Amino acid sequence: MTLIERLALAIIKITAPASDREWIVGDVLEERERIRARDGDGVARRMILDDAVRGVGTFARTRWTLARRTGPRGDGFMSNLLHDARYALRLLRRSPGFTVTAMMTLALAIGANTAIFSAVKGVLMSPLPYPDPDRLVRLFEESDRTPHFPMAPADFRDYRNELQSFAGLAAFVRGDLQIGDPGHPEQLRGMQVTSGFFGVLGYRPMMGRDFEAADEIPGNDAVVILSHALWMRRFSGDAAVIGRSVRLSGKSFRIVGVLPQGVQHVGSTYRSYGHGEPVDIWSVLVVPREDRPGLRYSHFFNVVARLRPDVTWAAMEEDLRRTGQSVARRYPVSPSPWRSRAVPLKDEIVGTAESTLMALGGAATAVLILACINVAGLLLGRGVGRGREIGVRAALGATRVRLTRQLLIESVVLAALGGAIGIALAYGAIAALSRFGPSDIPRLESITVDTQVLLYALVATIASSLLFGLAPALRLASAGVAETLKESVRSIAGSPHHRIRRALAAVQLALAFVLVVSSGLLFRSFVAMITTSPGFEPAGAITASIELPVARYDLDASTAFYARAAERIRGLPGVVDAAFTSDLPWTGYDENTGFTILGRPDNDDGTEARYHFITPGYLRSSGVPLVAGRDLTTSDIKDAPLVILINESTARKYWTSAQAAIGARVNLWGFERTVAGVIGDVRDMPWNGHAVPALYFPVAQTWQSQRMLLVARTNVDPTSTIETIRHALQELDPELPMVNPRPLTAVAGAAMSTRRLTLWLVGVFGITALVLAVIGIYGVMAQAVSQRAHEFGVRQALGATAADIIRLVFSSATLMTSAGLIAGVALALVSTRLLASLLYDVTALDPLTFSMVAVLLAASAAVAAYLPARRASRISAADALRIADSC
Amino acid sequence: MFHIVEHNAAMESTLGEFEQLVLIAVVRLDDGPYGATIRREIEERTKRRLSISAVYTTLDRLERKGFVRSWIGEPTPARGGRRRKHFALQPAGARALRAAYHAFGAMTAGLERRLKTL
Repeated sequence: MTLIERLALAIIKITAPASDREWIVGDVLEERERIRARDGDGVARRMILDDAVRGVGTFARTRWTLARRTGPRGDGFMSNLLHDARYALRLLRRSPGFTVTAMMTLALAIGANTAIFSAVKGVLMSPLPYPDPDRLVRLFEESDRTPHFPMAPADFRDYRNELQSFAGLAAFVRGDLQIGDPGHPEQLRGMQVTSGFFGVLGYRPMMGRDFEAADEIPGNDAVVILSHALWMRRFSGDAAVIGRSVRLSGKSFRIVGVLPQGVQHVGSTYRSYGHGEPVDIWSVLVVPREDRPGLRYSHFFNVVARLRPDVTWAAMEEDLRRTGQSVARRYPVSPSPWRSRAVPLKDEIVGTAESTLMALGGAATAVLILACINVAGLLLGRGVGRGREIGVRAALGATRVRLTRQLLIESVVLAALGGAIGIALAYGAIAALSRFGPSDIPRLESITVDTQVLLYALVATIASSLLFGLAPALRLASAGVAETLKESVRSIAGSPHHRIRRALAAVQLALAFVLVVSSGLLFRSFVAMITTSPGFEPAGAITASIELPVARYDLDASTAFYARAAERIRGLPGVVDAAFTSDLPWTGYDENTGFTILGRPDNDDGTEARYHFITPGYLRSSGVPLVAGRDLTTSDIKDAPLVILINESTARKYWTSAQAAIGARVNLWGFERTVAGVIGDVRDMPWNGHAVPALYFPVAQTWQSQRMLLVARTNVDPTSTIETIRHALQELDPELPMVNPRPLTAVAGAAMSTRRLTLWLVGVFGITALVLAVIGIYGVMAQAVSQRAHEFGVRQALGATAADIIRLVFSSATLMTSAGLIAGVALALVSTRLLASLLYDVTALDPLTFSMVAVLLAASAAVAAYLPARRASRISAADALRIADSC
Repeated sequence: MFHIVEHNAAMESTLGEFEQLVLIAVVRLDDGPYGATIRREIEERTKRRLSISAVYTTLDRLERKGFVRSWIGEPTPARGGRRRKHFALQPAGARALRAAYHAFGAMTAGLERRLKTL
């Protein structure tokens, strides 16, 4: 018998009724033998599998019938269940205040947890959309000064030739292409890739072929591969598109391949579209065959590679080390050795999202616990009034198990209602996130509410219902009949039941403290971020992206175009000034170069800065101030003396002051240049307090062909100038598309969007936690007061004043509150460290924030305790004694 | 709320459809049929696949109603040493089957051709 047949037989055994098991199994075996002799093994195997399946069906049907039937023949499980559930719903309907409060509390908590779980699952846990994704790595080069650089082209060539551990290596760099008729130009989102790029990822073109080594030779490289979307959109899904020519950016290209649907770009934060962003068209990244210094010192190749199936990580690192040494020897002048480093692709894509998601997950869990404690408190409070009902049931014969089960089902029903709403909230939140969410959340498209997430929500719901329902249910059900039917339900404030509630309220306060402190820290960081001067002026400026195709514009033509375009746009109504720049602030631009300062000992270690290209008018257009010297002018042209601008950081670092740097001579890229002016620092990123040393070349004198950004300062609403600017550019060149026009405020805002979202989420959690904790304290105090009503009545009769009563109540609340706050501070000291990477200008243990939150929580607790206390003191002695007696 | 009234086992003298098939098979196989042969008989004639557990459940029910009786047979090596449970018709079962047959015959009298070509 094969294994699967043995398994089927086991299933038949299990699902057969116990009393008939022997002859059932015997019959199956006998029948199997008969069939095997007559029809062969295959038919016999099918027969026994069929019997197993039928056995399961019969078994399930019988159990279901029994469960629905009550009485001696059935166990009545299902029918009791349905009955209890219906009863629970009726009870809940009768106390709408309690039900709605509990339901919404649970809905918010379960919804938040579900949404965050789906984010954690989508971003961190689910595998990348490539075959065998754990074998994919990104390769970087590093030196002692730079830990994480793209590769230099010649290095990439050598690594590709010499490394043994990889089934394939490929490099990729952004390369947009322009298509379309004059008057309707379109800029296509493009990537340049080396041969075999798609093979490394695990894709195969649907039509045609991948790029080959022969394509990488200049002259052969006018080939493109279309994305599926572009093929449908621009080429009508034409099956004969392979081999056709298409005019792109003024050059003629041949189409050699079309990709299937669902191709996901690897992505990079440097000179590339991000992971998962759409790419329209792919062209060839030429890998130089010769060796020039520029090909070793210019690091701009993003590299992805696929490990061979049998190679271990350690073996690969050794291979990288050895090959790296061999490559480093080829550097003509070796300042410091470059090594190669591999990072798993997933780690590179997910990046810093992990810590943020973990922090959010912790916050959501805390809120869920808080919510459960609150609902438990509500249930316990409600339970006090149900003593009689339970007593009657017990007297009529309901067992403790039966009673407990019924009460638990009430909890489950409550949790299910809350959970259902919560899941709906999570759906909505995730849909909103996909549509309006920050674009720099990695793998945003993988965040969905799928079966796994729903399963998690279900587990969270059931776990919560047990968490908040078990204790009240057990307590209520175990109360003896006589006790619960007693006339006065007077329990002493020090009873174990009440002590537990107070302890829980303290726990709630502690959790709330942690969440509110976290929100406070994030809030202060955010405020500091947006109030610190960015160094430029985002409001009142419009930007757009312009790329002059190399085939139609050489260096001189480009320079002339930018000058003419800037002048034309400057003259438009509403525009104050206009300029072109290589990059906008806070977009992750990071191109660096070394330089030498004339008159100083040769120090090529550490004299480096970020370089930009700008046209005159940049300062006024972007709102960056001039600190010393002069701005660029239209006189700074090709044959005029070479000048640069530097920023304050550079001036401070290499000269003592801004003024001292004016007139200094530096050697950059083989030419001597004079520092003509010093401009203000622009913060590297919103959450960096510092600026990086930077140099600014005038485009007219020095430029590398690249996409440029238009910045135009307006004295009207920036968006209103878009069409006039587009029109002006069209007049200059009808084939040139204007890409992505948007206000500078949008660019600046996008950089902060993820942090803003995190702040918002933690803030919501914090407020929710505070409200829940306050309600929790109020509930405990109210119950304590109502139970001590008799005692207060006696005291008042004996001469106690209202103030005395209030003081009594407060003193019992103080212990609880202090314990909660101390626990909260201790917990916060440990957990706010998780936020450290998100904080700006504020430490994780900031004393001011901690103290303010402590005061806030203590005050809230005081208010929560005061209200019941005041009510207690208002009741006259006679009333109190009367109330107590009639309970 | 509480199920105080006992649920009595009804003294049914009518046969369900599947019970009829099983009883007829027992009549047909008059040499002490057991579960496997009964199932085989019904499957071959009606071209329906049956679950062996369902057959035994029905036989147990028929035995409880007094329509069949059972006895345990000898173990055989082909069944891995397990015994067989044989069944035989009881007079009460014969009566019930005859009543069902007559009722069916009375209802279908004269309709044979129409029923066959429905």
